[in-house]
Amino acid sequence: MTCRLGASVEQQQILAQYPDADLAVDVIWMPMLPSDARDKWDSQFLTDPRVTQLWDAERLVGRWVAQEESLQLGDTGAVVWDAFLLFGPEATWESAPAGLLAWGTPIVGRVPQLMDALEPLLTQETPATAMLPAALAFPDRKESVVGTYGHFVA
Amino acid sequence: MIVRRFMSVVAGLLLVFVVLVGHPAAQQATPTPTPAAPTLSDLTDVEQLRALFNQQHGTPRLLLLISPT
Repeated sequence: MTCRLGASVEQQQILAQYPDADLAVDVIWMPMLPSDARDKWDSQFLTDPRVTQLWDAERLVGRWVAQEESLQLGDTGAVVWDAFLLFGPEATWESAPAGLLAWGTPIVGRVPQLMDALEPLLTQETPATAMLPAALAFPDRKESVVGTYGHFVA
Repeated sequence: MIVRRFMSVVAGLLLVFVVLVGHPAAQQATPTPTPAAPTLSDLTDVEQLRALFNQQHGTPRLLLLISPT
């Protein structure tokens, strides 16, 4: 439930707050708990058209991300889940994705860090906003609280 | 006589037209497009995610790794 709660926060704080922002959200659903199954996926949970949803029955992505040579996230355990990974618009994926801006786990506890990294990307296309001091441009910005599992790469 | 009958037919058609156009159902003739329902695609290879990722180049990308319950 905590995992879903994290995703719900994403939807409410990001997608709903920036309905016109150019953002792609790729959600990889994985069975991690005994109660998890493909038919437990709720089609009404994330309804924003910017969201692409994939069912990863074998936890391939979670295991791949956990490998040190993939994203160099450090000691993450065998499978990375209940996690977010944020990439900028110029990021490309050759042998591994380059341009990781931020990542964190669990999601629900790392939303302030995510918002700090994400908001400039969502608002940078508005010239008027770009000219404002940060305090005026992002009046709702939360103070960054760097936690044990909140990581900024750049 | 023929002209008068013709005029009354035209008037009748106009009346029908006005009634139909003014009807609420006619005013909703252009429905608002409903967003596509979310879908869940099976991922069987990390390569699928890589292709999707590169397809979205030029856009900030947020990957969420989560479980359904």
